[in-house]
Amino acid sequence: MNTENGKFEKMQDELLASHSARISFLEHFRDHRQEGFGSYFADWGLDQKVEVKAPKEPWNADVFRTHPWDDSMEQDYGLFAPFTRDEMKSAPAWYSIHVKMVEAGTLQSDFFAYGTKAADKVGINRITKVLKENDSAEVEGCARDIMRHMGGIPKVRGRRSAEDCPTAKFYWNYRFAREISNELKSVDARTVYQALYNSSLWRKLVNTLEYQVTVLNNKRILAAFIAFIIEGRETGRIREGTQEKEISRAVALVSPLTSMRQLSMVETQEILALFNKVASS
Amino acid sequence: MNAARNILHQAPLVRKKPESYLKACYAASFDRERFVIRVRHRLSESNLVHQLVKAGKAQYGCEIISPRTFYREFFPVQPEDGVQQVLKIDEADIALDDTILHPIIVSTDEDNIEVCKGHGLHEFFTGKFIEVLPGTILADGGYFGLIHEVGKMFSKYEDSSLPEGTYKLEQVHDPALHFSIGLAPDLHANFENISPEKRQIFLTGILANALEMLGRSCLKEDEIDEEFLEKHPRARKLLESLGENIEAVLDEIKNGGAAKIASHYRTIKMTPQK
Repeated sequence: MNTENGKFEKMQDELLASHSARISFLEHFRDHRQEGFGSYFADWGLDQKVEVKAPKEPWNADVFRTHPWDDSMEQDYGLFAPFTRDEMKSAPAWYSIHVKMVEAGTLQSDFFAYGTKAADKVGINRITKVLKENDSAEVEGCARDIMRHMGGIPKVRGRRSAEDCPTAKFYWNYRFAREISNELKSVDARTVYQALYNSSLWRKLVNTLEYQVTVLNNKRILAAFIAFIIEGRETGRIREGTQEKEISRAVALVSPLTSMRQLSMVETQEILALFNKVASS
Repeated sequence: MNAARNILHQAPLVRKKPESYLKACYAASFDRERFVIRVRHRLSESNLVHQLVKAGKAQYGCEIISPRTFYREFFPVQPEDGVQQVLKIDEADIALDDTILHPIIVSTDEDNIEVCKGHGLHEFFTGKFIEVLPGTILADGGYFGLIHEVGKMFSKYEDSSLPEGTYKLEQVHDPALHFSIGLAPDLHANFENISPEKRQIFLTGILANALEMLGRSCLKEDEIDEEFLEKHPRARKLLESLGENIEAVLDEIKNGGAAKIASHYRTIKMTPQK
């Protein structure tokens, strides 16, 4: 994909630096929910020529925010098949894709504005309220949420599209689920997908894979590790609400095993048995 | 002493410089052309790991790691390929500037080996048992950035001031040390069309010239100029990959052996044009 990081970051910087720019940004998202949406991003260094196929049905806000496990999974994942793994981690690439998806009617611009509070769940309501009240902190919070959900704010938060952008999270989660169930037949893709969708677990996992224990990225090792986590949750070893801490503990347990041995040469079931053995010793 | 207490669950590693082993060394050199990487593994003889490789109980391999794209795969060398390996990376899997190569030697079998003197380990290990499992890492060649450290030693460009059929070679620092090959327009135009065999002969000559230049730069009053090698890690890496040790390689170059060394080293490739 042909994007320009320099231009993209400059435009994000300008937006973050000015209240009036943020107001215009929110107004655009309110007023151009489909037609004319891309005009705002003309100078952002996005790939204007990128092509994204349309899904069978347009996505609603719930599907965009938390893609449920349903019959459309494979087809929706397939929308992003033409892109490289690096593009699926890149903020400008996701912005380019989302602009096309909004213009094609697959998404609506206000979907990106959802917030974590219950009152902020519906994007258009949030934007309308924030613009009416004109509180600078609320305006900034809403603009930042949109920027994160569009693909991320790399200069502020690093390359965290897989965490910040719900479409990227759907893509990577489903990709992992497919690969893991392929490696470990006893674990089905749906179970993996639903287990990984937990936000604190997901955040910790993708951070670990990219920055801490990269050996877990190997398909076989990752499959065994995720099965180890899922089993841990089922048996109560990992308690609800403390997944982040428990993942850290799981990583601390298994990573010494991977430094002495190329575990990708071992069958996945055997790796899982090794992980369980070390956890119970 | 109880035999169980003598089992080492972590196998001693062969590395670039001898550590647990008395003399054994393991290193790999790389050569990249877009998404094809040629890896050449170099393991010294007379040590346990070499014996295991010879017996088919251990194999060379290389990991490709791209943390940014959540990618990490291990590619073992097939027995029929000896110490050479060609890795073809799928462009869609990696981020070039974030990709790391990690050459290693791993065990393919489960074994319990009682260390003897012939294994080349320090005396401390003699009589102890090393527990080896499939995948146990026996030698570690280190980590190498794909675009920062591999295959950037040579580049070519068209020099219109050169008479037909001629070329020139310069050692340049821009800022990293590399060799720049100026080709007359006719040579430059036909470079990609000449047969691989002829191109190899040409590049062997280039490498021999480059080694002679490098030899002069690395020696100061007949002694190895450590300061130069510190400053130019690529030069050190190239020389280390060409023989037992840098001293021996420089000695051979000094005694007129550059062409011979170059003719044994057949993996030189060009980086994109300047």
